[in-house]
Amino acid sequence: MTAVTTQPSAVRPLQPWKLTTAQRFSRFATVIAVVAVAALLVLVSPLAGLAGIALVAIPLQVAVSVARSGRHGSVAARNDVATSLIGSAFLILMAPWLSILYTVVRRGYEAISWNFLTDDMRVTAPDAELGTGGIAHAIVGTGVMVLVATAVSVPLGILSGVYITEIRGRFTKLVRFIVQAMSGVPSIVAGLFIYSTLVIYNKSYSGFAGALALAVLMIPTVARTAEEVLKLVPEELRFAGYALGSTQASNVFRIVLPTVRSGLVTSAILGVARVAGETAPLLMTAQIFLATKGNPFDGPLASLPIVTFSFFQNGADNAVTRAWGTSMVLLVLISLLFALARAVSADRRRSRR
Amino acid sequence: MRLSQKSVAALFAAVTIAGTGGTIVSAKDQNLTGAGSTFIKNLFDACIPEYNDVSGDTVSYGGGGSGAGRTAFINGTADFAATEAVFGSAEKPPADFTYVPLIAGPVAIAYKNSNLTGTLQLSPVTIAKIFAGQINTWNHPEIAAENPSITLPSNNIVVVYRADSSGTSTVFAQYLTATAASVWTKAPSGTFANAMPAGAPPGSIAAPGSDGVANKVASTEGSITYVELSFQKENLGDGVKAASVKNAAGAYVAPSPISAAAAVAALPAGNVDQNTGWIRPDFATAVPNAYPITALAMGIARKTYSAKNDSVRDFFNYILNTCAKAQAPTLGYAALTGNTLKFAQGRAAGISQLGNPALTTVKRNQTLPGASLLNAAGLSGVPTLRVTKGGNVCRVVNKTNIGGTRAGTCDVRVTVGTTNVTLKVTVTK
Amino acid sequence: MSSESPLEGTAVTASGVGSAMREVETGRDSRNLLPSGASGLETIGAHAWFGKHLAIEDVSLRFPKSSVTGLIGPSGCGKSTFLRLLNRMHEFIPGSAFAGQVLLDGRDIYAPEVNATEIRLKVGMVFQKPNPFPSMSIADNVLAGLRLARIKVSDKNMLLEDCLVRAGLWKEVKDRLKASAGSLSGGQQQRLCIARALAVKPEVLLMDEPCSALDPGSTLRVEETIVQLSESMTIIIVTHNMQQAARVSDYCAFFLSEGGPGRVVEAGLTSTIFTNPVDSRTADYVQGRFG
Ligand SMILES: Nc1ncnc2c1ncn2[C@@H]1O[C@H](COP(=O)(O)OP(=O)(O)OP(=O)(O)O)[C@@H](O)[C@H]1O
Ligand SMILES: [Mg+2]
Repeated sequence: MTAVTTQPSAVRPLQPWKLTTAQRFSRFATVIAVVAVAALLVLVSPLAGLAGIALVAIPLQVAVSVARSGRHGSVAARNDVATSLIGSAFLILMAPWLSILYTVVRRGYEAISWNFLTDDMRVTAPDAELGTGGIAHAIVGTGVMVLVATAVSVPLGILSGVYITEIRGRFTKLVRFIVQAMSGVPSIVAGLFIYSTLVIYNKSYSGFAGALALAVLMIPTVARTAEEVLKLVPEELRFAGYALGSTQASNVFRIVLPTVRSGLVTSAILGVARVAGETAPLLMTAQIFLATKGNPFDGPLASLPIVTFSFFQNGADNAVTRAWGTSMVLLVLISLLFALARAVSADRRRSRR
Repeated sequence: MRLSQKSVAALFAAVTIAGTGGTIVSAKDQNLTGAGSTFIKNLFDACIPEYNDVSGDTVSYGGGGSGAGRTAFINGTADFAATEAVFGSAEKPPADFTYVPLIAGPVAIAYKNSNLTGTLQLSPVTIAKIFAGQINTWNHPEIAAENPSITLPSNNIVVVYRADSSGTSTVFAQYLTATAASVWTKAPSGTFANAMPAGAPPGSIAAPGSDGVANKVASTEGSITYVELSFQKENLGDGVKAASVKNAAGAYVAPSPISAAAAVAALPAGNVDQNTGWIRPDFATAVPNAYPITALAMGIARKTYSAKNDSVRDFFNYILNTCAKAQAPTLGYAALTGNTLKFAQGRAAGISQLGNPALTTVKRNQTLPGASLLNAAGLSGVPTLRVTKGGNVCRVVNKTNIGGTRAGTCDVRVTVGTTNVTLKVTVTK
Repeated sequence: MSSESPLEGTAVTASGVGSAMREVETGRDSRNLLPSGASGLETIGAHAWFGKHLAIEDVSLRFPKSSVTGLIGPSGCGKSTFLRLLNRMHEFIPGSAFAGQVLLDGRDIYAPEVNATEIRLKVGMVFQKPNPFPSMSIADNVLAGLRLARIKVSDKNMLLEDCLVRAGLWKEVKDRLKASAGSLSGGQQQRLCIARALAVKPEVLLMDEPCSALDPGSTLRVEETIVQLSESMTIIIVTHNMQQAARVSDYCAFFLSEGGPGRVVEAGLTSTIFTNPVDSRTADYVQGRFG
């Protein structure tokens, strides 16, 4: 008997479990055809618009996939139907998001220029020609307030998570209740609370007051996420630490928290994304300031949502375009934050393996 | 150190302004926060960047509505405010506050009816009956009587009104109360639904914001509303027209910056509160070319001397004397003119004067104008001056001024009517 | 001995009730005692509960200094539970309870004045499932105990190499000491955990089936390490591998639960247990006739 050896160069890595290009193309073509047929049907029927097309296309696609995979037996058919349904559901979910994105970009892109990102509105009227002035004051203001809010809420949020999952003290239920209750506080109430305490007391709006109002909204998000993340730490790791003669404090700070570092970063980013677009609490705490300023303790401070609101109120064409442009910047910033959160948590999954 | 330099600079600025009637001379860097009326916001949006540019100050205006502005001013979170409604009895403004009239604007009776050519003419009573639901077709005899030269279609009238609490609603309801008391029997209110005598008429529509009601009218055939003039103009392309309104002189006048300016140029003395500076709009104006439904937006500021308040005065002066004139016509406002402007300038001059040392200091052999003393005392009117102490240091010159004789201090009693204020005047070498 | 918890299910840490329960009658059975000598560790009438469930009953064993003791017995008879009693890890399980005494150098580790952290530093542990710290590098894992307990050493690199060599891992990881511990295979992770436990130089080392995930080569290497380590420390090892128990241990204790709580059926010299046990059940078990 002879051992058969393949030439190393002849062996190529394959992924036989994936669809071939031809298969993929045929599926894609089917979907396109189905949508086109649906569009035609909609044209000659009383149904109207995108919703009408979807209404026809989805059952049609399901029918086509049943017909096509019928040859391969009922399991394959069922799988294909499920795929079509999930695909349609995905599109339906995406539709509102895409249409928001489309509207914001369509109406706001004209406002975007280098100047728009680097200049402020101190000496420029909201309805002045596009290309003059900008929203640097709002970008910096939102940045500063979000930073301060993060510095306040992330340690508090993580501490509350640590208390609930690690210390498991007598007040665990109370702490969790407070966090839950806080997450139900409407943003306007958070603003009112800071207004009636800090702002009235100081007789001045300030970026710091705005940041505190945002922190009130951020803490529950951070605390809840941190708690969930900490719960994922396997008990064995804690035991491993204790068996090495670790105290609870060094166990928490040197083992548990570092293990979920990226999860905690995600919790902070989710918290930031939660509050970056908040308008109501800033209306009463940070107000608006037309010059670019980084000091949160020196009077009012601009922010992207408030500046958007102020542009809209003006009503002139250029001001409204600026409002859309500002929303676009806000949307892009928040999307970037979410993408960052995804990247960080994906990193965590990879390294945990 | 830096602070004292700043206040010295501000002091000089104050002196020069007092002397030159409102031009900004030295660059400062005060940060001012304003809040209140949204009616005036578009004017502020245009004027604030200009003022920031020439003054070196940074003024920011947050809007929020008249009521919110008054509250912010009382709480001290706003350095100045703007309002169309007077402080309520429950509100406790600081004792040294003053109103300063800043701008006027016509409230248009805007309507859309494609079959109605020519300009509709309406008297206050007809308007009141329409908004009360008593007249509900366009060819109603009472409308026809006022519009003999145009053919009126027979469709129904759809009343559109503000859903939110607004200064425009307050002014319009005040107008109806003042001019059509027999029909409009309810007290004025910022929430228009509360001011309608028999509640909202059947088929009427509530919409939020000036832009909201204007857009509603643009899309609803046969509808009518009340809205600040610029919003009617924005929707002219969609067939939204403004009615001419009959004034107390018996003339039908179209809303415009000019006709509104005429309404506020000469306000009757009875409408002016000399004490606070508040001016009631004159809905019964007898000036032939005046548009009667004209709202006035008032600034609110403090008379006590401070570097910030100096900047507030500069800003108000800039609006009154420079910016409003240039911007009002394009924005649909009416800049103040005539006696009303003079009155407003006088009020503005009183801002940041109480306790201002520059106003009570004079050089030897020079004279201190009585107006300065009046401002330093926080009074307005024609003063009577008397030196009550230090008669060898200063004396009354020409009845209205104080002359410095030699270095030192003296007491001067300033009397307006029955009010006396005694000021310490310093004479320097 | 009743199999009911005297605590009626209340969650109390064992240290809090230890002294109160030391009165529990401890039926000292000579069979349960390993031969006398300078004992490093000794249990007297040890009981352990999970809630109301009595998991081990009345275990009295003496572990001589510098010896290796193998704990054998079928699955679920309480070997791991017993092991956890010895370094006070049992108390981390909510609702757990303990009665009896555990003496380390003659001192009861459950006495109220004793600090559990200190005990765990002296009595190290290698767990049944590998549990390296995923957030740390391989090197940091080995030295983690030092950092957690704030122990200072003069030459960290030497200690690191020494521990990894003794755990039989050095050759495989010496070029990637900075890599994440999560990137090691299961068997490598277990040897890393052994190295980690060695680094703090414990007086007693508890090993719960340390070789269950290892290949024969690594197993041999670890066994050599155990023998070598036993010169300087007391080692207690749980194993299901009879050959392993025969190879490395000086003494053996046979645990059996028979439906009820786990008990020690027989304990003594490994040679005796394997060749000439007193109890027939021991003979059956070591010869693979049940369990
Ligand atoms: N955390 C726990 N909670 C409740 N009961 C437990 C717990 N851990 C173990 N037990 C129970 O205690 C008994 C002894 O378990 P233990 O883990 O000590 O067995 P073992 O001898 O180590 O078994 P194996 O050889 O399979 O590891 C078993 O009946 C088990 O179900
Ligand atoms: Mg076990």
